[in-house]
Amino acid sequence: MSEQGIIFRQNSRVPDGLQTITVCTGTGCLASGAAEVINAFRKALAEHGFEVPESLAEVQKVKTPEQAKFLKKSGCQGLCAMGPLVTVWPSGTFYVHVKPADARRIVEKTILKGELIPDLLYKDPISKESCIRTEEIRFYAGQKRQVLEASGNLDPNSIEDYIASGGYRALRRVYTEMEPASLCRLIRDAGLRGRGGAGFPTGKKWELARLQESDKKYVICNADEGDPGAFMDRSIIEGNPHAVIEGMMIAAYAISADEGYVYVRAEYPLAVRRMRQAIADAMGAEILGKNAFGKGKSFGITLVEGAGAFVCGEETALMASIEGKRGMPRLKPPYPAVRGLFGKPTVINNVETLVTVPLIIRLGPDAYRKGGSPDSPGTKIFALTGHVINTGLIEVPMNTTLRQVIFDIGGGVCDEQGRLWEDGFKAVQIGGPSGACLTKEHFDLSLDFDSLQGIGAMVGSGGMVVMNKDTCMVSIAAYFMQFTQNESCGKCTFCRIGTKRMLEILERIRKGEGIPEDLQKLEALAEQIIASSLCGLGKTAPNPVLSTLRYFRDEYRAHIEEKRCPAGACQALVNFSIDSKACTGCTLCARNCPVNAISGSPKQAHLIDPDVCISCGACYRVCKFNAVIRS
Amino acid sequence: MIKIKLNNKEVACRKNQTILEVARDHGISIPTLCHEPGLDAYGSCWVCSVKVEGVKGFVTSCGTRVQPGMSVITDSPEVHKARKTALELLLSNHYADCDAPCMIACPDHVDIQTYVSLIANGKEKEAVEVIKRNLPLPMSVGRICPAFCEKECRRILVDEPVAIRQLKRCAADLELGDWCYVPQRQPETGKRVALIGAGPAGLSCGYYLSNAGHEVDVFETAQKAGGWLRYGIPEYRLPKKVLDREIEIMCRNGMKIHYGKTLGKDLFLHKLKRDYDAVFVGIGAQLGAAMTIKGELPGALFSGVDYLRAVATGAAPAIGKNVAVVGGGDTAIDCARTALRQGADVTVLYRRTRKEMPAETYEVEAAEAEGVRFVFLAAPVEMLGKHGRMDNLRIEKMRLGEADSSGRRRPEATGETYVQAFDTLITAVSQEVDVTWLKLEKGEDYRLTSKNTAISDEATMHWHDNVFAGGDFRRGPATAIEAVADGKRAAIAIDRFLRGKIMESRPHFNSRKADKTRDIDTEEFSHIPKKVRLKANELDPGYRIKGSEEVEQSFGPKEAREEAERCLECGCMVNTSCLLRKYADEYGADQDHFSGIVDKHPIDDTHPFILRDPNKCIHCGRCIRVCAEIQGPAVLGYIYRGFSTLVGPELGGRLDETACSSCGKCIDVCPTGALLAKTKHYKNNPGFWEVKSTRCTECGAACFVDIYRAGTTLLQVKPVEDNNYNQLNICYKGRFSWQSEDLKFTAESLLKLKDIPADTLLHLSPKMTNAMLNDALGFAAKNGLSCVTTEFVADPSDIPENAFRIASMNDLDAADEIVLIGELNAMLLARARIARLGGARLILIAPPAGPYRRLADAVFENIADYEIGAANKPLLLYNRERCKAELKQRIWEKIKDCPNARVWVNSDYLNSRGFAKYNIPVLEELSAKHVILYGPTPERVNAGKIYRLPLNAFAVKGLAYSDTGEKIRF
Repeated sequence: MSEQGIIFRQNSRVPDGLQTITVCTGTGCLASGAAEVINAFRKALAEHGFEVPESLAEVQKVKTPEQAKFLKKSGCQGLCAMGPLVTVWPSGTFYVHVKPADARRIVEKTILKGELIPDLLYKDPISKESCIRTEEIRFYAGQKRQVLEASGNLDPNSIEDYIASGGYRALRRVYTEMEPASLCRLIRDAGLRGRGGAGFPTGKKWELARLQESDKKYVICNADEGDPGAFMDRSIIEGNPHAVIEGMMIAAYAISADEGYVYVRAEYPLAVRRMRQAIADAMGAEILGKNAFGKGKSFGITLVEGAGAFVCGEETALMASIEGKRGMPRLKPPYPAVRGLFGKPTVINNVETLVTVPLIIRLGPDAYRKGGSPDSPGTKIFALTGHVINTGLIEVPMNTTLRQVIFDIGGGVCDEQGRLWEDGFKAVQIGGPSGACLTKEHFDLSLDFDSLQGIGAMVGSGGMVVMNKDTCMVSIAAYFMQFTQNESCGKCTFCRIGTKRMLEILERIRKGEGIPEDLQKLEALAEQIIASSLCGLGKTAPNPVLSTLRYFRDEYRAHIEEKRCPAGACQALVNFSIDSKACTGCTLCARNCPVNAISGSPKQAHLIDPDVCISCGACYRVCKFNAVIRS
Repeated sequence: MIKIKLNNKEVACRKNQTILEVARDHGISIPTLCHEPGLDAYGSCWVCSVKVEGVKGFVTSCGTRVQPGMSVITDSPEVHKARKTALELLLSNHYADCDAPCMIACPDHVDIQTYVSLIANGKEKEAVEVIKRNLPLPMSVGRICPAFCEKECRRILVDEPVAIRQLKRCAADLELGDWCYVPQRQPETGKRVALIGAGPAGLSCGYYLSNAGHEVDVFETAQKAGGWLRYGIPEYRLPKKVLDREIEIMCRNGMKIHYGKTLGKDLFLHKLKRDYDAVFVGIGAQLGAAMTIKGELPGALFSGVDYLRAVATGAAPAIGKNVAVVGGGDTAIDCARTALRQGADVTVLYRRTRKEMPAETYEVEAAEAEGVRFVFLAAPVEMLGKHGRMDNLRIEKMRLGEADSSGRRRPEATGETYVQAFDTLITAVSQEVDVTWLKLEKGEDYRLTSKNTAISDEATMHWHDNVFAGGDFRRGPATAIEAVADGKRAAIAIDRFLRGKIMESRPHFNSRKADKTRDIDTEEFSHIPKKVRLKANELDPGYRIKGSEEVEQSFGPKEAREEAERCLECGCMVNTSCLLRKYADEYGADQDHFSGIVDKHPIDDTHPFILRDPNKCIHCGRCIRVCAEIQGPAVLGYIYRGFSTLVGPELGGRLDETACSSCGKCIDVCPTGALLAKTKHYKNNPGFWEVKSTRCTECGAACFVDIYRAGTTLLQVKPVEDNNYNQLNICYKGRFSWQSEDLKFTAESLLKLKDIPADTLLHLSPKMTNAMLNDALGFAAKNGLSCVTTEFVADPSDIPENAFRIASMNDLDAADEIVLIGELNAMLLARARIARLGGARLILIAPPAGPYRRLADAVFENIADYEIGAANKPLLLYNRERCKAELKQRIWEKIKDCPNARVWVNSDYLNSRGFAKYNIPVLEELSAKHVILYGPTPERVNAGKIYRLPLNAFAVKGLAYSDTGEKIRF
């Protein structure tokens, strides 16, 4: 679908001569004020006497395109750090960090006169050159946005927009031209693997469920995205909910299911609202319902809001939760495809997987396989965060390397203030609490399922946190361990108590109370937890510890043997003082100290009282003159 | 049938079997804590881990079904380690004591909690039996023991420790009367053991060996037995007639004591070890340690050991009027108080302060009360006198320095001295072992420490070849209870040695809340009301110093019970059956391997019958699943997440505020002591339980039950394990209702009734056995009484032609449709639900309200709505007393045309079938001038005089007919 180099496009059903202003309404942009920006545009355009259609239906009613401006809301466009994002079509001029006050300028200059507003353009952090269209921005140029493409273009609240852009056509083809068996085969041939983390072949899963004889089967969309820092499923639902419905209906056809559930966490209110709207619209359009798609098949979707337990992303726990029980995993087999929701055969797929399905039908398996690597075809969406210039949602072919992601798309590593740090790279945490920390030596590793698994990491749900040299790896390991320990369902021994004991050892090391045997103890316990846990949560919980132990053992040893935190992050092991020569007496440190440990008059060198100081490092981070010394 | 490899051996097994089941079929035991037979595999404990070839990590053997060609390893170092790790993780958060801390603190591990609980229940004789399992000299030790147990007593965290020593003495003193406890001697072994020294170590060793059936010869150099107990402990603390009686009882199983036999003179070890199968050396440490002092005046200087021995043998030496005793231990106090009783003025000189004194505080206080003076930080350095007589003692002042290895501050000389008038000096600073006899032993390497104590094995006392050594001879001067412990351990080892077994037995795993009682937060005990420790009476000091009468008196029985009730029962009630403990033992698990935070919770004591201690819970989930999936109420569940996860009533509520129906099954499935049965008995201890299997008499179902008793006290009722009839199901009535019954009356009471007016009605119950019915009818005939009953109802199942329809438990297990009609016994409900899990349809007709309804496949309010459809072997169940006649008629009509249909007619009465044969008139209402009620009381009685003879459900014996028509004996 995506032509090389073209990232976003104007809807083909917008008549020539009708200029469009697209405002991103992903969660990131909304949080940074996109709704106010939209209001400002409405006002500014009205003041100039323009008719302002805001949906395709309204656009169709426009008589004189020149007298109107289409104010369009899109789903997440990915460059969340730069939001709110505004694009003016047909020129494709792309503005970042747009504030409500900028609306008038954009209308008066760009829309009316075709002029650029240089300060709203994206500037490349390295070359410092301004980019006009998204194609010029390295963040976008390095990606292949095929799953996310529609999200950045379409109005998520508009079923017309989805249909106009080719939506539900794959479903029509499946319902009219295909048999369930051949459909399963097609998905298998495309090599689609589950995007939820483990990468199980989707076609195989469907085929197993298809072969079960049962009066009832279910399709579940797993949107219980719980990894800290991951938000791709949320963005897809918020940006393109109908694609989720289409994917679920195709899966339902493949296994002869007549009922589906979307399990979204309640903390995603926008996703819940848009999904509800989309289900209602699809029902209204008779796509869903008793006579789904007019083909005599029945399919209904119920949306269930999860209460935010991380373990409910595990399929058997998720099903227990839908059934009204406590979300706790059970032993497998039987797999859900054999005995799933309410004891019936069930296919449970992740959002990204389901959204990829219509794409495969449209492209055909061979074309789909052209992207990615032979065993991991297609693209994968990652949530790129941490110490990197461009943070946001990215989609790349699965054979992309870490180097490309961090330096081309991410624009390089930065410091705490967001300034480029040439040599600042330390590690990248991939796969969230189940994943691992990778280092420089993995720069050229392809980000596919098998390569990552080969080094003890995993794609997981696709969180990718870049860390600079000021990051303490023991603390990172403890952070993830704390997360999994809090989120353990408490059922099995190793996960409930084992992770707690690991966490206690890590905390001890961070406090400088570690002993040399702790490292072997951590490793031994980690291996036992991996080998003897009931579900994926426990089986992968030690990964962050094991990988940091493997690649940053010296850092652990520094904590234990020298009682020193090389990154200066562990409060108990670090002291701060002020270099009186370098201090200019700007008072910034004193104002930022949470415990008032810093004294000094303006323009005089300041002093830290070590008895009061809690070693939080706030002064160190805010000092602009490198006068705070960390030791 | 499929074939798999089990530990590299090909075995055949059924498809769909789990690895656990296959392993058990082949005699391989795999530990498991969370597996609940009949329910889906759960996989929470991971103690049943096994290795399957080709599978990463471990799999649960309870949750993995065999596949053809599967290769399973159930035991390997790797598997062992995985299971051990799981156990150690569980134990790291298991805040509980297996054995009570007092018992652990006792060098001899006497089962204190058990005997204290027996005393609390007025069972002092049983208490003596329990004590004597470990300690054969409780009268003596109960008088003089420093009571290590009391120092660790958890009651310290509330107020003061339980007076354990006094309680032991009080119970043991029963043996001063006519009664005494002598265990059954085991069959003769023909083995002979020689013991050297008739002190507490040797006597204890000989006692247990003679009980075990060995021939025991004890050789003693003195003219009487008891060792230090006789020649060191003064009469006023331990009257020798008590010791004589105790030793006499100990010798009743054949232990022979030969007096006047001295090692190195009359006896030689190399000869004894040849003449006997084993030898135990318990010669003690009987030499007083010498003290260097300037100007030694022999006539005025006594060693404490020699002094006490001389007094004990009736040859008290002449001492002066002004006696100084040197030392701070119990022997020093004994010397001082003895000298006092010889009429002297006594001062104890001690190098350190009162705080560092090793002597028991109560001894010191008693000595002070009698008039002994104490001078601290004082050391005698020179005896001053003329003509061999001392008239003054030069004493050096001391000061306290740094703490030494024992934790006490070391005394240091100041160089400052003073002179005080004394005419006698008794030194009681320490004791030593006399090993001059060893010089005469040749050729053997008897290993000794630099202090001449024997280096023998701590656990077995094994010293050399067939020679064992213990007591003070091994430990140096120590206490009687330590000597007894050595003697007992030696006896166990010698017995094993003589029977050709490995001598050492590994100690049991013991979970504990803390190493020391003082490490525990008193907050945990803050809810316990304070209750002052009782103190035994003592003779008045002014009176007692005039003679050698025993100073301390015993508790009376009432005081003893009261004091025993102060015991907090810290040891676990299931410490003999706990699976966690069993596996921890098997796998050598170390509770401290994974130390860390322990999640502590208050104990939920709100339920009338069930005690919930979340500190012992291992989150296996068996109680949760059994309650929700079989019983129905779903009282328990998991709350919170992560390490803080807790099993309990929803929202952390109380157990008594739930829908719990008190079936008690959660108690049976709990693998640890997290759920326990509460009973009306204040003390309820597992250390002295007898278990008897019988049939429950509460209704016609007649479940198989185990009755737990301590002597004649009924303590608990549980379903018999591994019975296929009721399995682990009994109802509230069977399990708990005995507590509400008055168990005083028994069947014979009826026959004891005299002078019955002729117009008396004898009301009989279908609960009685046939034997009792016969007795009652005979009694009625003899006294001219009419027999009647009230509640008994006629039933279609009594008609002989319906007899073939009467169901057995096999019919229940084979049924494909189970129809429960009306109110039914909880055991049958549970069994029906289990059958449903096995595939049968479960239908309820007019069921009572309650959570059980949600477990059924269909519920009909009216029997008319139910049709026997496709069912092949339907089984219908109802209760004859709880169904209206019309409903019963419709039930029997319904099945008329279904030849395979069976009916289970439950009855509230044990012997309804037997009773039906007697044709006893059934009255609507009981109205007469006089009524004898025999058995359960009818609701409405209208009589001038009523004799009540309640039936003792668990005391009856006889033959009756159960619901299934089966003859049952109990």
